[in-house]
Amino acid sequence: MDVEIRLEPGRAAPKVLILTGEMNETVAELARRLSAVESRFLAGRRGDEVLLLDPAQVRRIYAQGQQVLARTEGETVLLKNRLYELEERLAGGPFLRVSHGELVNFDHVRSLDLSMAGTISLRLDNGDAAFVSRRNMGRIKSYLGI
Amino acid sequence: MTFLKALRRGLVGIPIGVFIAYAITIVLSLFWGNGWYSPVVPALTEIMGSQIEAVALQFGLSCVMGFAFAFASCIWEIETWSLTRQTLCHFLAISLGSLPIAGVLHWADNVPGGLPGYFGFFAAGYAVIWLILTASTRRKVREVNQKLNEERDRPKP
Repeated sequence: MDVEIRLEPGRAAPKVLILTGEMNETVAELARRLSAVESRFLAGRRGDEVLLLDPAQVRRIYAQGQQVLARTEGETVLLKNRLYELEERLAGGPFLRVSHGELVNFDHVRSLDLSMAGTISLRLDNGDAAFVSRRNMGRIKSYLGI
Repeated sequence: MTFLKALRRGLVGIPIGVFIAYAITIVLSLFWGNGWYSPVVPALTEIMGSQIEAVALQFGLSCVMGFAFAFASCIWEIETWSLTRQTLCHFLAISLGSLPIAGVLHWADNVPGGLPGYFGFFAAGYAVIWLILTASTRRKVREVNQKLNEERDRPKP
């Protein structure tokens, strides 16, 4: 099988085209694997730069106005998907919805805190804080096996 | 939760309020009506001067109560509000919704301290709710923190 990479300056996202004389198991498997690579990473944008983010490096994903942003250790990246789409895609992993507009990666959560007024917040290992709604506490407990 | 959604829920609460009031009159009549249906308690008829006026007032007040309770239930769903703010606002909404009714129907007549005493009793109930919810949330937060610490201390494979 020949592999050819053609550089196209200005292309937003990589595109893979398979040229084949017939559809067989090898081609189908190749297509499946390439699709899996795409779905493992989150496509984002930082300025003019297009990035593929490893979800394990993402601390939290949140909606801000019409935008969906992801926070890594020290960076903020604009994602192309909607929050509910990302929630579905990342389901079963360490990402949990903690409030109406935010998903948090529990592999990076340091602790939870309850204020005097009764507001719950959580602290992440990159110093970020996120608000937790009381109704999501059950989901968090169940994820942690409590 | 938007104001419009809360308003819509309040409107849905009106027929529920009327239904509950109607059900109460049926139950009261079954037990104390001597075989007759009594749409309002005799004391209200006495206050209003005629039964139809009493029924009309009861209908109006049932609508107000249904709206107030349904509208106020949305307060617990505003997730950005703290528990203290939710409890306080729910107390105020329910109090203001039932204040005219309590006044018209003389609910507070037999309560020590009159109307202020009646609402003081109400406030005490809300304070208990706040204490229970705060204690429950604090326990959940403690459990989660304990588990997070255990996970952190566990040696990584």
